[in-house]
Amino acid sequence: MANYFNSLSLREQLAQLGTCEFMSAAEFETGVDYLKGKQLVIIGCGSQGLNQGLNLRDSGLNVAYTLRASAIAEKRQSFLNAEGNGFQVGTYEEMIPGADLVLNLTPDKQHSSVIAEIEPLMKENACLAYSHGFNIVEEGQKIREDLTVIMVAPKCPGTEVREEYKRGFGVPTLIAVHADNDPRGEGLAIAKAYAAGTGGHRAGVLMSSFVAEVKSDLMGEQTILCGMLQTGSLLCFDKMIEKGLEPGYASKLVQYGWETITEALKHGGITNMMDRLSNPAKIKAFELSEAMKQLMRPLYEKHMDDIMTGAFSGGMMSDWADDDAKLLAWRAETGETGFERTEGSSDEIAEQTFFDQGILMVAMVKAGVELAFETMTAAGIKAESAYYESLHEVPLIANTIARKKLYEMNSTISDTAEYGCYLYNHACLPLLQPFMADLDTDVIGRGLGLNDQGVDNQTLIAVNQEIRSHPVEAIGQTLRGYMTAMKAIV
Amino acid sequence: MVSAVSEVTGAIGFRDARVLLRQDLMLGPLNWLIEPNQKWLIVGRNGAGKSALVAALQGEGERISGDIWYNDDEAAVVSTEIQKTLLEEERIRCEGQDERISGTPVSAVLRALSPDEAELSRFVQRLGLSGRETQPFRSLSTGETRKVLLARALASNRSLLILDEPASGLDAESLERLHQILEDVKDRTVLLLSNDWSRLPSWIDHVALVDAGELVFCGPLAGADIEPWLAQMMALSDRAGHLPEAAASDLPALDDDAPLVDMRQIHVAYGDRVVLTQFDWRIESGQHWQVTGANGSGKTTLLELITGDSPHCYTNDLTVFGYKRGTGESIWQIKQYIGLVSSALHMAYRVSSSLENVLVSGFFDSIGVYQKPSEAQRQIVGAWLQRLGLDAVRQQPFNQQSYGNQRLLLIARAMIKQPALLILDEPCLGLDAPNRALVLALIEQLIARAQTTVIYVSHDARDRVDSISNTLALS
Repeated sequence: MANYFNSLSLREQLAQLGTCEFMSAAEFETGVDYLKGKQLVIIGCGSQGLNQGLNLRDSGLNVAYTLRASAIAEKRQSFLNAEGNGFQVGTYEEMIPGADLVLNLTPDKQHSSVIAEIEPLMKENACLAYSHGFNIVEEGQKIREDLTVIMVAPKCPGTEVREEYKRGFGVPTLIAVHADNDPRGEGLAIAKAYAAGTGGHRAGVLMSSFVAEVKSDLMGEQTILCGMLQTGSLLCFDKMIEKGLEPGYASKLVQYGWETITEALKHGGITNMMDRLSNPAKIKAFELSEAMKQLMRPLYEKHMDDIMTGAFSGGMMSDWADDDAKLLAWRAETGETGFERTEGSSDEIAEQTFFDQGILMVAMVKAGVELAFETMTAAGIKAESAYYESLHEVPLIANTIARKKLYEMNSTISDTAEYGCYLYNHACLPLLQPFMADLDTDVIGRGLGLNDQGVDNQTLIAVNQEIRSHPVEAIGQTLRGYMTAMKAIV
Repeated sequence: MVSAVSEVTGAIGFRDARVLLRQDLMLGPLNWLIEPNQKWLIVGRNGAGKSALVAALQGEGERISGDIWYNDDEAAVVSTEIQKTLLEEERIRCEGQDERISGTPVSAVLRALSPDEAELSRFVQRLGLSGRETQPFRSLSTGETRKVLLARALASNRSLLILDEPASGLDAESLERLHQILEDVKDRTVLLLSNDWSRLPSWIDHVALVDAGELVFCGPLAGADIEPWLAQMMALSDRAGHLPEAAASDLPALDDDAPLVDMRQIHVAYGDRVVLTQFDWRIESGQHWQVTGANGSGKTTLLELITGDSPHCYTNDLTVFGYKRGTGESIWQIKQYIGLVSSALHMAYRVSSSLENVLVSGFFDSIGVYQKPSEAQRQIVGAWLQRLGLDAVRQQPFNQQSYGNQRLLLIARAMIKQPALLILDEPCLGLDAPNRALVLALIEQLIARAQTTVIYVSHDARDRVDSISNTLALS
């Protein structure tokens, strides 16, 4: 199979990368009607599979599951998930031929082999749905011509997809139709009904393309989302230990710091996150962030370039072929780092303290978000996609670190994200070492002293202006505005 | 920072202590000494500040002045908060797994405070939890998870037991057993927080009275002249009044002749545990039901089949409001005819929302508000807040209210659209006497209006609703 993106002309590449449009609520007025009475069969019953299925069934659709024969025979967790929730479960041979819509919700790594098995079993003119387009775009999987191929990608973990649905809401969702596989022109109608069935239409749906989704998703997850938080956690923790701070406290400050800081980001973007700092701290964070951006820009550009050329996915797929040797070795290494092994202390850390003592962490989030956004948009990705795959998702990843630190984050994120995070971490740690050598606990661990409290008015005005006029802030304000309008009064 | 137990006497408590618990809540000056092995009842109305007082004792908030003595390592706590936290942690830990078959087993939760197997099995047995040890903690009913917390606290070697409304969710028999157990507790201190003065357990020897955030009285029960205080505190407040109007409904009308609910040969099992089998139930419009049954008898499952919250509604022969379940109807088409209060809903109501919006959400069957209410709906919300006596605090956050006030709001949320079917699963849990009376009066008024059919679950014989004449007893 050849990389699909690379097979396109530049004109087509740009057109697909640039597909991104926020859909109006009116487009979902018919709800799930297009899929009423059709048979939906979900492949895989992990977190996304189970929770999307529960929502689709509660929306009045006919949902069943199919698993590998071995998963059924051995009564694996996926089988227990489906069966325990009262779903019909069967083998590919039993379930796929009767399906009007097949939802492939298996991990990326399994896509090639799963598709090879199920494609011949699918009935004529059926539809195949993905939640992530890696298989189509990077592996270049060709799907039978009579089949419609769509993507519906909720931008949250499966449990959140379910929780928000039960509350009567949903999670922001991205949909796409694969241009090569829309023989009857019904792809969009199916994708809209599917998104409505998961509740996504209540929180906002973004019309994207397979290419835009894959390229932006890969870029976001490996740089700012997982990569920057992993690298930042290790650097910040080690710095505090070097300067003699109590290890339990340092561990706690980092583990929960990301979550607290990015909560401010979620509500009001970089501007609000920076506004949570005192004026002198804000200027300090701005300067640190500018310095890091300068150091890291070539790295972000390399990640983007490797994603665009297919070098990234090629490298990862050879590691898959090597049974994840590199990845697993690195995952184990992460588990052995000082940050990972140091239990957080029981000290209470006040919400504001995470900002006051975490100036460097704020600067890292700012630098990472802005760089990822700038690099993506410079490569032809629309601002909307770039926002969702950078700033929007940072709090979600920060939550996983708050729960159980890096090892847990790496085990729960997708396999593409973890491999990307591994590459980023290897390059970024040494890159930032000299920069870190000059820093002290005023920016991480202790906060600014009383002697650092003055600010120059002109500097402050200039810094505020720089923060607020960044393009990620403009698009963020618009997209968060849609969300709030939809969320009305929460 | 809280000092360790006073070394002179081993007592815990406050001396001239002022504590800023939240930005808007200053406690004190507090003076209260709890000597070892005393048995305290801390009593006050819903929202009086009982839990706040104990939280301050445990070192929450900022101590402004005075002394606090307390040792967390010596305390075992049973409260709705702990229950909620444990279940939430489980939910996160077991992401993507079926809660009925996977998760931390009960035995591990039990052992978290004490590895003393003999003691544990003694209390497991006395509280009627035998046979549950291997099940996932989160698969238990609300009453059963409460019992697990009680069993592990009792079996621990901690010298201080803090029991915050331990009766919440326990059936009458279990409650009786709990008091028998506490009767035998000699060599440790017990703090029992309760809004119920009428049931003074015989093993109590000291009492602390809390009203409007203040410690009104604390001392030995014998000889304490607290009756006038109590009379004043517990007086039925003047909240009699009419039921607020219903909003004009644009729901499709239900067929008057068809039953609201028709269950046939229901069978539900989790793993090897059969919860309901060969079970039939028909609920006609206007036919009100009281449902009784011990903890774990399947009440919750039964109600969840009706509300659509149990996946087994799709695997059984079940017709609700004319929709045969699993034939293309959506869960929101079902929920629009239902008002619901249950402990599970209370735990699920986790979003930060104002009191006002909690009531608004009742019109949309949502947790949090995602749609704009009409002017008429806003006015009805106003009338309800007035009826509940909460209109002055309508903008306050729901999650900072006392448990009792939260419960009261969720009851009003369930009633606000005057639904075709109102399901009240232990609605009065955590409510004090005046609030119980208010809720019972509201139920009677709703029934009198003849638009709503009520399913009512209660363990407490005092909370009978006279207009409900049908009884379903689960065993």
